[in-house]
Amino acid sequence: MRNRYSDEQLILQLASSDTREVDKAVKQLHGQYKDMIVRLVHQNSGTLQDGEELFDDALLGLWQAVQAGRYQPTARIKTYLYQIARNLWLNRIRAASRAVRFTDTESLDDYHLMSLDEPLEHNEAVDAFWEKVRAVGETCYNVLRAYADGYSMQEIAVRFELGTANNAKTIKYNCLKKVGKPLS
Amino acid sequence: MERPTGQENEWEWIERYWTGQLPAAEKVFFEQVMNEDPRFAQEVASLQYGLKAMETIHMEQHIRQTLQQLHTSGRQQQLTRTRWISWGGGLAAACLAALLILFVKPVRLPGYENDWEVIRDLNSQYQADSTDQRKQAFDLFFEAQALYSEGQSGPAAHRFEQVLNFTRLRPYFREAVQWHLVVCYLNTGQPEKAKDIYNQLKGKDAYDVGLVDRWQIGWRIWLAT
Repeated sequence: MRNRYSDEQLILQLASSDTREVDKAVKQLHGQYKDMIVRLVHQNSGTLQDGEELFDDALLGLWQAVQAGRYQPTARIKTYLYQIARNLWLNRIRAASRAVRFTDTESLDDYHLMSLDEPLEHNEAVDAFWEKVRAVGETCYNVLRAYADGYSMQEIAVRFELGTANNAKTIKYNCLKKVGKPLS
Repeated sequence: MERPTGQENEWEWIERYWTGQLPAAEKVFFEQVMNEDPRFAQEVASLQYGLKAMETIHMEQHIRQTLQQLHTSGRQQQLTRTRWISWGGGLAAACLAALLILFVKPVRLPGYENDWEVIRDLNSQYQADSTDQRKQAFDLFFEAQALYSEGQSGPAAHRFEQVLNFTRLRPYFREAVQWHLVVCYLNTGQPEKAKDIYNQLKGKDAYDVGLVDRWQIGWRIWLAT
């Protein structure tokens, strides 16, 4: 696959709220670096599926860092993804108490230029959001969780016996407003 | 540009603002309304955190779905590549086998024993008649075949040529001599002569030479001429 976008362009695309722009970056990064991560995992006792999952998590880690403004373009995206994947895989190996001698599969000359936070298995901001929603109440949690899962307002209204789709929509916005308030 | 009326429409407008869906001009208008209406500004602020979080969740799900599709299509492409490689390998092996058959396998003309039967019976028949010159032809053919079997294609070719000079040869016998002569010519580097006789044999099947052997002889002639 030819590299169509530079690292700078890819970061701008990942920062976008337009799914089409994000897709462009995701497709190029998948074409360029998935095999690198799969190779790393395979070399260190993982399966193809482990490698693909790790690539997904590394890419989402990059996306989260870009969205949160934490991404510093001091090193190449390749280096960033490799290091996130490497750290995540090391964490998982340790968590599984597996004695594995870790072997790097890439020699990256710009590794020293990057600073990387400890990789997260979950998006902490999203976890915190759901905690707040749960605290607001069960109805809010059910409605927003179903909305997040892609159900329409009509489906949510029927599923949770809320009457009409407009009722469900009103509940959704009121819940979102409550979640936005500081916890008392 | 008009501000939406009704609570739900207003909320949807705010959602479009926070999820970056408003065109530039409408965004300017939205912010202008926000500056002019403190209640509206407060409503916008109160929804920011929740709507941004939902947008993040939706985008994360969208990225995971896109990646899943890419992995699936990548695996399918890999599978297709593997199939093509194995099919290609099979095809290459088949081609190699065909080439080996065409160029390496020795040409096997139909059984000498059958020929021998024909010769012996006819020989005895003509011996009984003790008149026909074809006996000499049979003897020459027998001698030529013996030389051919020993790999002496030159002397064998000479005798086969002599056999062909006899008239009133049976078609089966004539064709057998011709086929042997073609092979002898090829073995002795006389492809043009081989080609002439090979062309005469087209469409004739009294002496039953197998299709693969016919191809094999044809290829060798084609390559040599």
